[in-house]
Order: sequence, then C-alpha cells, then structure tokens
Amino acid sequence: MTGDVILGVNTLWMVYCVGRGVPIPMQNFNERQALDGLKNLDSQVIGAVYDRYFPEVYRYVRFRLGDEPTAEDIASDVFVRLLEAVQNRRGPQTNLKAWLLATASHAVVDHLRRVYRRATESLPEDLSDPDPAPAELFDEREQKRTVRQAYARLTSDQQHVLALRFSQGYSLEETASVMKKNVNAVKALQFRALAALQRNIEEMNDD
Amino acid sequence: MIDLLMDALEICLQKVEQGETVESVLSLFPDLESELRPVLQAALQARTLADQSVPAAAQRRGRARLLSGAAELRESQRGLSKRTVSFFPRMVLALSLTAVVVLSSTGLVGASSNSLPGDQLYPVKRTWERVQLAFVLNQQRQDALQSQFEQERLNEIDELLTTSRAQQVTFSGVVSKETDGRWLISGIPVLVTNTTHLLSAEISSSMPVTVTGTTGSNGVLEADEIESLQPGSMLPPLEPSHHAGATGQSQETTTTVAGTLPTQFPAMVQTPAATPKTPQSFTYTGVVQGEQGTNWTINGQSVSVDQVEVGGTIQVGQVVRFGGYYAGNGNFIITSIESDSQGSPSHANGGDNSNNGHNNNGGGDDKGGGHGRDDGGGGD
Repeated sequence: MTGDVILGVNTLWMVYCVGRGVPIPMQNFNERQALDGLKNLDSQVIGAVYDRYFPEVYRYVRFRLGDEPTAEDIASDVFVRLLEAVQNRRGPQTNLKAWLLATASHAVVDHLRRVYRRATESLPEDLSDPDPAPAELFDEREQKRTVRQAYARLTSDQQHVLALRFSQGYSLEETASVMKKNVNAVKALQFRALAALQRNIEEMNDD
Repeated sequence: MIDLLMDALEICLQKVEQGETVESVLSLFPDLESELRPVLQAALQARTLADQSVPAAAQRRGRARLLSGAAELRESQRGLSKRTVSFFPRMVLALSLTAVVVLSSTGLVGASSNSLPGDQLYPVKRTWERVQLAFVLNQQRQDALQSQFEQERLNEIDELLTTSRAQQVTFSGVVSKETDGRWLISGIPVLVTNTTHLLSAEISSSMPVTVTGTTGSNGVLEADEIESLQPGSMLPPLEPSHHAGATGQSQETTTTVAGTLPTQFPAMVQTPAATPKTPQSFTYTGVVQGEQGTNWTINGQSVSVDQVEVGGTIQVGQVVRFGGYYAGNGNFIITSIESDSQGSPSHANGGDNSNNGHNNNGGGDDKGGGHGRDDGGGGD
C-alpha cells in the first residue's frame, strides 16, 4: 500500500514537472509543490491530482451512499471544492488525501441532510424488480440492502471509519491519519461501529 | 479486556483479509470468540458494500467538470482584477499613481546620486542633471552647474579606475602630462596606444580635449578616441577628488601634482564651490601665452579680461594668478588677475583652497549646495 502511494505521488510529480518542461527527479517530490500548482490553477497539476485521487474519493463516497450517480457528483464536487479552498487559502497544507476524504465525508453528510430534509416523495406502487433474478441472487441483493440500511443507521463517524477501512483497505494507521485521531481511538471507533452494524442487521432481519 | 478485544479483532480482520476463514481466526481467541464473532461477521458484511471498480466514464466526466471549473476560476480571477481597478474612481487612482511616481522618483534620484557609468541608475542620475540644467535660467548659474557635472564625470571615472571596473566613458579635460603614451588628462591617467584615434592633428599639453575610452583594471583609462576642444570649452575645474587619495597621495598634494608640472601648465585649483544660485568662481595660476586686447590666452585657454582692471604690468610669459567664471559660451571671464610673484602654481592658492575644492567634489550630494561663499576674486 505504501509503495502504491509513493508510486502514485511520484507519477503525479513527474506529470507536474513534465508539464513545465522541467524534469525533476522523482525523489524531490513534495506535496507542497503540487499544491502550488493547484493554487496557480495549472491544468496539468489539476488533472494529475484528480487522476491520482479520484478513484479513492469515488469509492469512498459510493461506499457511504451506495449510489453511483450521486457518488460521481459528490466525488467530482470534492475536487472543485479543493480548487476553491486552495484559492482561498483554506486548502490542505500537507496531507492532500486526508483533506479530500474528510471533505468527501462532509459532502456525504451534507447530501444526506438534504435528502432527509426533503419531503418524502411517494414511492411508486410497483416496486417489483424489472429484471427478475434467480433466488440466490435475489437473496444476496436483499442481504446487501439490509446491510446498506443497517450501515446508514450508524453515526457519521462510524460510517466514516468503516468506509475508510473497508472501501479503501486503509490500515489502522492510515485511517487514523485521515481521521486525525490516534490509532487506539480508531480501534475503539471501529469496534463500536461493527458492533452497531451487527445489531442493526439483526434488528432488521428480525423485522 | 476491551483493548485485548480490539486487538484481537484487528488480527482477525487481517487474517481474513489474507484468506483465512472466520472459524480459523476465531479459534486463535477461544476466550473472546463470543464477542468477536458478531463483530467479525459485521465486518464481513460491511465488506460486501465495497466495490473497487471505478467507472471510467464517471472519472472522465468528473475530470472535465473539474477542468471546466478551473477555467471558470481563472476567468473569475481575471475579472476580479479588472473590477478592482475600475472600483476606484479614475481620478483618485491617477492622483495616487502620480504621487507614487513622484515620491519614488525622489528616492530614485537620491539613490542614483552615487551611481557610476554602467549602473542601472546611472541614466537616472544623468537625466536628473539635465533636468537641473533645464530649470536653471541664469546663465552663470547654469555654467556653474555644468562645471560641477563635468567634475562629477571625473570623479566617476576615478571611482571606476579605483574599483577596476571596465566601462566605456567619455569626459573632457585638459592634457597636463604626456609621457611615453601615458597621459594625464585632468588628473585621469590615460593610455594612448597605436589604436587610439587622435581626431586632431596635434594634441599637446594644456590643450582641452574630449576623451572616449575604457577604464581598465590597471588603473588607467585606455583611450579609444581623443579630440581637442576649442579653447574656452566647458571643462571640469579640478582633478577627481578621490584620485589623489587612491594613488596614495594626500589631499594637499592635489595641487602639488599640478605643481610638479612645468610652469606654463595650469595648476587648476578650485576655490570654495559656489552654490548653483551663484556663478561658480575659479582661481587658477598659469602662464600668459598671448594678449590681444581684452582677449588673452592663458594656459592654452582663451580668457576675457574686459571685466577687470589689470593690476600692474603683466607680460606674455608671466605667471599670473587669476580668478573668474565660465560664461555660457565657454569663455572664461576673468574677474581678478594679478602677477604671481611666487611663480609656483602649487603655492598660489594654498592648502585651504585645496581642501575646499575637495569638499566640493566629494560626491553628487554636495553639488550645488553647502558652499555659500565665493572666493576667487569676488568678481561676482
């Protein structure tokens, strides 16, 4: 994982340097210079940052919401917010990935708040699946839906920690870095989140 | 206990990630199995929500949207800067800019006063000199100012030679010494070589000339071109003030240098400088080389004696001490003249005048101010 991060960061830096016609050795990369490129609205740097981090942000948001179109909107919006924040000197100073994922988490919460606030539309009467599936596949879908609903009942922090651990495969240390918590706090949060998730699933199955 | 449970959960998660079954990992913690099992099962359920695929189309669309947003930001920034300019009334902005220019110009002129040829601020210094000349309408004051500026040229060249800076320069002066291709022109050592263009048929001592050349690292200016000037042309009144010191001579020896020259050569000693408000007076000693009515020739320069009553009998070949000022046409107007009984230019004016002259040439800041009294015969 760490190797992948280093490789990705170096690729980003190479794109950054080549875009300026300055071949700078990869080991000289620092995120500060990439952030400078964002501040200058350098298209090459913006594209490189997006290509590097969009998959992670997208997967995170989709894990949280389970909705691909919304995940696409929110993930791309996170990068627009990044540009605006950097221009307004409110952007990340060091950990770009942590900033993106934290912003994605806030964006998800904002989205859910808007959804809950909106008047509930009447559901169509016919909810039958247009594409009938075999019984096994149907059960799998139902179980996934139950887990999704159980997950949606978790607190924001609990959803956040599970999304980081299970959608991104982050280690405890990486998760702690993104969440700006210590490892023990993340361990405890994760344990409580999984326990709550299990309880929710059982409750929904009982219903 | 709770810490142990969380650590055990982490170990179990890692082992399941590596492909082990739930039962096998739970068997590692038999005492914690009842607590671990539901949590581990929840973790497995949570994994089902994960999907590592990322639709390429979604990524492309997001990329295009982001770059479009960046373009809009760039545009908005340009627009903002334009609005910022138009926000202020134009008149206020113009006045502010004018004030800034004026204030910064004042500082610029001050900063340029010590600049040398080749420096970035040197053109500012020369331009400011021209501006000063343009605003002085009184001819005598203008002559005095012009003379000061000519003196400043000598000081600049002297500074260039002292600091061994190579720079092409042009200056005017009087040839005072000529030995084996090394000339001394108003105190500036000039090297005349075979490549030097002598634009006049004959250039000799005491002749006013304009020299174009390059300062070298050996403390000598290598002349590219030397041209004689008409007698009476505007010349600097003194040698460079720093030169004597730079060559190890004391200030008092400035006139001594001239004094070592043959008697008929000028000993150019400046009286206390005049402010630009009054014509600058000079006192020289020299040899009368010719008399035609009120136009005399002293030290190769044409001078006018129609404003002074010549005391005693002065004959051609006699050493005289005379004072006066330069007129606008370059003629030196004598306001006092007397026979120099000592016959030695080096003693004609004494060390006091030398010191005063040095102070006058100490730098651009001194020019035009600080010397409120004219010596030199009081003919003003």
